[in-house]
Formats: sequence, structure tokens, C-alpha cells
Amino acid sequence: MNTLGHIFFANLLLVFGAPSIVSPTTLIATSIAAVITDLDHLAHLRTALKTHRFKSETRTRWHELPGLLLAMMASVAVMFVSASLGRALLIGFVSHYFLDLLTRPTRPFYPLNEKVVFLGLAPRNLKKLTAYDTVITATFGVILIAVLYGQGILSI
Amino acid sequence: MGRAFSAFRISRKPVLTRFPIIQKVNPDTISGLSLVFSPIAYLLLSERAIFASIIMIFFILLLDAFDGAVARAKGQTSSKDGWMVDVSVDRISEAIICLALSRVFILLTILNMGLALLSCRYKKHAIIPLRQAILVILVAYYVLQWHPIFFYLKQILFYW
Repeated sequence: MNTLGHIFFANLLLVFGAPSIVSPTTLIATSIAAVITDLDHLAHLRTALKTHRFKSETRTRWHELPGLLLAMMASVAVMFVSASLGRALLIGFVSHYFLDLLTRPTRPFYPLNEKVVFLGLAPRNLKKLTAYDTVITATFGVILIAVLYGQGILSI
Repeated sequence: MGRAFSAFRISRKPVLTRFPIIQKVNPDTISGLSLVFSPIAYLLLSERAIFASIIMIFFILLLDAFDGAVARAKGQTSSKDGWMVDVSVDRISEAIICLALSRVFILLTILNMGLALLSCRYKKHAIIPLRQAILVILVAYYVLQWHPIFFYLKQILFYW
């Protein structure tokens, strides 16, 4: 999923699932946690600009289950300092892996096993995938903005 | 004796093979569907809609069992790839569901994820059936609202 889609979905989980901890700080923390995993793609940015996509081989171990395990442990550690911040980070991390497993080919057990897993719930054709991503991202974005506006966190 | 044995064999044939549509369904997609419903279970648990959560988690587990049945009906029984899809989907699904629960369940999710990685490393399946355990605790929580144990169940589920 694209960066905006990750941010919108993670914040939707935060806003609907943990409304008591919603604040500008937790929203930003969730957004950062939702996209920080994608930093390993940066090394392959040049190739991706040519092919218009990041292949599953560009995902390091920190972008798969071992990475999620570490991210969850770090979030739980933060929870003992600030429960709301830890939970916000946890939601961001888990939502990223959730969306990636659902919509992209991944290698969940990398480096233990290089088997690529694709659940077949998103198209693999680039044009169709772009349209699919755009529709989902726009839907998440509209719902999130409406909710944040309704709660008075966002004002125009 | 031979006839009786062959009749037994026929009855052991997966029931799902009788439905032609099953041959067109990808078991991985069914696993994916069980993952799609996990955020709904998370939202229901966050809203403390216990009965609806029980139904949703039961449905997720049903889909999870169904993908294995479809794989067997299609003759994909000894595939390690299927194990990988199943285990990775299960771990992410329970991670999403446990976001609405107490730290105990989050720690159990972390433990389970570690066990999944060790299972892959040592080729031995050793994983806690966490979603099933959550379902049992939720049913107990829903049924025993009059009982003193309800207080402890509430603590375990939502506050610790």
C-alpha cells in the first residue's frame, strides 16, 4: 500500500479503536509508526522509479514478521513509559504489516524462508493496482478527515 | 471386506470436492478474507460489543478452518507454502484483534510471533491458539456476568 494509505488506515484504527487516546501527539506517532517500516525501500528507489513498483525482494527482514516482532516489543516497552504513546505506535506498526500482507506480495518469514506470499485480494497488474490503491486511499482519507473534523481535532 | 473398505474410502473423500466451485476458489484468498474481518473484530472489541465480537471471531476462525478444508479438497495437502500463508495470516490477524485487549494479550501475541518464527526455523509447529483462547474467554465473559469471576475476566481482557 502507498504511504498515504498506511497513514490513513493506521489513524482510522486509532480514532475508531482507541478514541480515548486520540490527540495530535498520538496521531503523529501512529503516522510515523505506519510509514517508518517502508524506509528500507529507499535503497531501491532508483529501480522503483523505472519499474513503477517496489518488488518483494526490496523488503528487508525489518519489513516482515521478524521486524513486526521487534516493533511490537519496542511499542510494549514504550507502553510502560507512556501507555497511550505505546498503544499508538503499536497500532501504527501492526496496521502497516496488515495492509502489506493483504495487498502486496510479501515474504513473511524472510530471512528464514524466501517464499513469497500473495493472498490474491489485490490486482497485480500495475494499472489496476494503482486504481485499487487510489480508491482505497481516498476512501480511508475521506472517512478519517470527516471523523477528525467531527471530533474538532481538525478544523478548516 | 474389500468392498466395505472401498465404501469407507469413498466416505472419507472430502465433502467439499462435490462442489465444483471449490476448485475455482484459492485457499489463500479465503485466508485473506479471514484477515479482512480482523479489524472489524478489533473495532467491535474496542466498543465492548462482546456478543458481536464473539460472532466475528468465530466467523474468522471458521474462515481459517475453511481454507484448510478447501486446500485438502483441492489436493494441496503437503504444501509448506500453505503453512506459511496460514501462519502469517493468523499472526497478523491476532495482532490486530489483540490491539483492543490488555497488555497480557499483546505480550502473548509477541510470544506467538516468536514461536511462529522458531517453528519455521526448526520445522516444528508450536503455536498458541490465541484467537481460540480469546473466543473462550469472551464467551465466559458474556455468559458469567452474574458470577464473581466476571470481575477478573474483565481485568484480564481489558485492563491489565
